[in-house]
Amino acid sequence: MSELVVKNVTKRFGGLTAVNDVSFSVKSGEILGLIGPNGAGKTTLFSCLTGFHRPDAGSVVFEGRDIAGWSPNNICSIGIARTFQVVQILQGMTVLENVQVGAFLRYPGAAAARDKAIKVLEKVGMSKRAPVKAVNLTLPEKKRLEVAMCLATDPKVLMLDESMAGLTPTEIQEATSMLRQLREDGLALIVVEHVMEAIMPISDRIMVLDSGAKIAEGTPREIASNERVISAYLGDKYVKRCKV
Amino acid sequence: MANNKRFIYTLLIVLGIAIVLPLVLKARFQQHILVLVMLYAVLGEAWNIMAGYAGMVSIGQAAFFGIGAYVSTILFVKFQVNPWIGFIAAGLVTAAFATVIGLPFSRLRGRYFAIGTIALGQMIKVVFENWPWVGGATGMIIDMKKGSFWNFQFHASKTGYYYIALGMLVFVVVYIYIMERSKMGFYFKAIRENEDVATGLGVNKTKYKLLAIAISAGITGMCGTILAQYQLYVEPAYMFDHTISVTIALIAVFGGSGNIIGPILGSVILMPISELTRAWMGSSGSGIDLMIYGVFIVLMCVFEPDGLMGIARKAGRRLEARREKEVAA
Repeated sequence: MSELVVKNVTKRFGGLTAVNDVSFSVKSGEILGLIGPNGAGKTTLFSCLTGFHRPDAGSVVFEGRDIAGWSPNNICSIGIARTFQVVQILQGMTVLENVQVGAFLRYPGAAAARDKAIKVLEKVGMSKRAPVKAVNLTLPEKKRLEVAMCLATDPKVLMLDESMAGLTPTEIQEATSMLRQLREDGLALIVVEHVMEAIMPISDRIMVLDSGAKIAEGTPREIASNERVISAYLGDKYVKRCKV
Repeated sequence: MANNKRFIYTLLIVLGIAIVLPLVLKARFQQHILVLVMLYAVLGEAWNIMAGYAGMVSIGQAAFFGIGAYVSTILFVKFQVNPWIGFIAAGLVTAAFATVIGLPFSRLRGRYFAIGTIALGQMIKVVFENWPWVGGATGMIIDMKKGSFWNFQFHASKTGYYYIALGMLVFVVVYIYIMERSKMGFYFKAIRENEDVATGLGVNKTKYKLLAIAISAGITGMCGTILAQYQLYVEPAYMFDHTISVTIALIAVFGGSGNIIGPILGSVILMPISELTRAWMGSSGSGIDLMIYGVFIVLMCVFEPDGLMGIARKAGRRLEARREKEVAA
């Protein structure tokens, strides 16, 4: 049972505080939804947790170690993996090779890494696309490949940054059932998403960021009726109008 | 798997031809070209490890080449160390130097790395030009010894150098063949394709970049020793010549980088063109040899950026399609 505990993480870019004193935790077998308007600091928070940014203050504790400021590769090797908002894959390599790169982290032998990659591709339903060059995939496939690459590193915590943006309703269905499966496998998931019909039903808890600060946390039902959340998304005027 | 076998058989046949070739082409100038072809094939492969696979385009390989040449020559001239030991030392010293240089360099991305390597090549040259202990700008002369394998000197015939370079090429090709299929090769390619993705998947990019630079530099340095022994002298203007850096990169790109065969193909075609045009037209002083050489490169860049290997691959695909059509008919 592993738990990621984030305490008072702050990240400033010059005068702008992109992430302001955010604390939360997530444990295995749980999906934490992370929502907020554009520019709320969701992606920056991800980057602080995975080593792509060094937080200016606060701690990120995973399995008893404070990993704030570690390099991304070390964070990945202790079991925290992420995808990117703008899909990032190894364009010139095949789907199988992409996943193999991830698999090499735990399986240094070429044959073992290949087996692991094939297994992961089966899991995400992309076996048929294995020999295709990644650049030739469709956008939904690329997003799924990115998740497969992360899974190949056997993560305990998986952070998905808008993996469902731009997908059709059917594809969202497939994606959410995959996330549910991963939760059952015992992963801790942090999911950033703008697609509410995707994130509301699967999240155990939802955390809301606005202008870098955490403004609410709770079950999807609580969040949906939270006044501060509604005003962050739709403006104060809307909330007032609703009250009248 | 069958494809793999065919590939290895083809390589063995080519190796057979390469072994017999000097017995057929016996004229001094022909053998000179053969030695250069072989040497630059190795240099191209070394560049390939760093640039073709790991994505760090270097236009300063002459720095490593020259250092290798100087290491063995200094050992031989100043300390009477056998050139074979100098050969190994050249590889080790150059690799060590590249690792130190690589620490700041590995932080540079894309074109900035390339520009950095150009500067490196020029700086090292100036250092050696102004270093009296190694002969400054005039360089050092390697004393003639009895021509033998043990002395790393061959006078009557140049084939000795050819076979040493061929041995190195075989070694490097086998190494790349294994590397391509291993974790190291995958990690190199991942860094080339996207550094952020690579580190996100647990690749220690500094470590693997330094590895690529060090291996590439080590091989390049050893080639420097071969040329030093071949010419029997070293001087900064020649060993650290920027043309060497450019030629190495051109050969690999012309043949097709990022695969085993490309640099060999590039060397086999470009080096004879460069040497022959130089011999036929270079004395005119008009630089026409370099123009012809340049036209080849420009044509390749315009029509097939993947190099000769790109053309070969396309032709192969077309052949296969035609065969399939015949089978269907």
